[in-house]
Amino acid sequence: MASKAAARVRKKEVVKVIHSALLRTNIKAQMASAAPPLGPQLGQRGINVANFCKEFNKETGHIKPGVPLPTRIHVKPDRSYELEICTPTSSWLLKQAAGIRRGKQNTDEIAGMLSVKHIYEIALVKQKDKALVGVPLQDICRNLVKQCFTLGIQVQNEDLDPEVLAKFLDERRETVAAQLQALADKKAAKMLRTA
Amino acid sequence: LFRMLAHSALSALAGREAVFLSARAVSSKYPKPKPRHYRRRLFEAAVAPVMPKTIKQCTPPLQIHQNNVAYDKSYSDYEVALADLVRDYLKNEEFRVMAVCQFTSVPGRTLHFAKNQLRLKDIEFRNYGNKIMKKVFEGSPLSSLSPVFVGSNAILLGKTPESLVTISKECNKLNWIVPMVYVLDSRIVSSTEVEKLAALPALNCLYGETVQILNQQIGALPQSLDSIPHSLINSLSHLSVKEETTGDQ
Repeated sequence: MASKAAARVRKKEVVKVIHSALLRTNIKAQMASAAPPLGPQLGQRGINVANFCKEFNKETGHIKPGVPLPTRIHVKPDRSYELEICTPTSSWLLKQAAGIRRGKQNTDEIAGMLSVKHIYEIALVKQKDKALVGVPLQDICRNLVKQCFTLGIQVQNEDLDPEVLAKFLDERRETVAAQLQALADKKAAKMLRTA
Repeated sequence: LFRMLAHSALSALAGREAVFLSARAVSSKYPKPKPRHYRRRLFEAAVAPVMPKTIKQCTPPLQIHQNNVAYDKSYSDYEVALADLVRDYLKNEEFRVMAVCQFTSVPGRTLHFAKNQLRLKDIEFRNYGNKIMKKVFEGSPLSSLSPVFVGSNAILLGKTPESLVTISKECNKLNWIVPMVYVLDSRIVSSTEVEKLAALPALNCLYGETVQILNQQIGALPQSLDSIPHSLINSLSHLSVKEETTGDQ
């Protein structure tokens, strides 16, 4: 009782959060806007959001809209910033190469198939990133294979057989549709329970 | 009175068995008073699991210390395997230069970029820990480096002798890594010698200077051999001229 009264009397201290000078985020190409979560992240660091969005959309004008691009924004004390736009995310590149939109949902599920040639070509793209300058191509390929394992994409040494791949993708389409339907049903059941 | 009774019950319970505080799955966004409300503490004491009494052993501090020292010095199977892996890596990659450096912790991002920049100059940065490195060089001529592997260290590796100078110059640019000792083909070189070497011009210039000096010496030899007969001829001609002048007189 005394503690409750004390809590009522005690004033909450507002602590000003100092955000880091480096902002690491993924922004879709030509789709930067002041909407959350990007708007608040930039606003908290004192950056002019409208100017930033205009500049970002202009710089990504040559890239297909909607491609997720890892972006590093270094904010200086005078509120100016340096914008570094990296190559598209590895997961997006791998899914595009495998022709899928969704990774695996269960542990032993195979979500897609790729060959080592795909991995090599994607590694050549990722090698241009500033963070990967100086990293051997072999290490980049190894990291991509690890990411394939996380996504559920099977990597094989031989070239992909078009017929086998087509059959696999058809089956995969049905599996994904069933999974999405199951998730939607679960959500609807929860809403009915709570309503 | 009720509070006194509750407190005595709680202390009695705490005296008889170990009191384990369990955590509820509630939001931690607001602070809980410490200590918790007496009713909460009673509840936790009541639902605490009944554990067998642990027999407290009285170990002498010296024995505890000796056990700890023996444990620190022993190597697990994983550590032995890692040491073997590092040894194989150093042999297979055919590194000729190694620099043992004192390394202070830096943010991961800074270290990642620095490693990449060093790799562009053919220098590999590795940090396996002092215990592993001591095991790697155990029983080899470089086991005398064991006193250096104390504190926070890292190693820089290069494949050519020019890496000595490159390592010295690159470490001068970074303020979180200081090379202490260099190794070139199983030969230990001190950092002062390498700094003197780094102050010299490029190795190709030194090659050119050495060739020039040798050529000078080789060129000077026939000159010195020719100088004796030439001086003899000069002195004889001088004598003959002198005789002619005295004969005329």
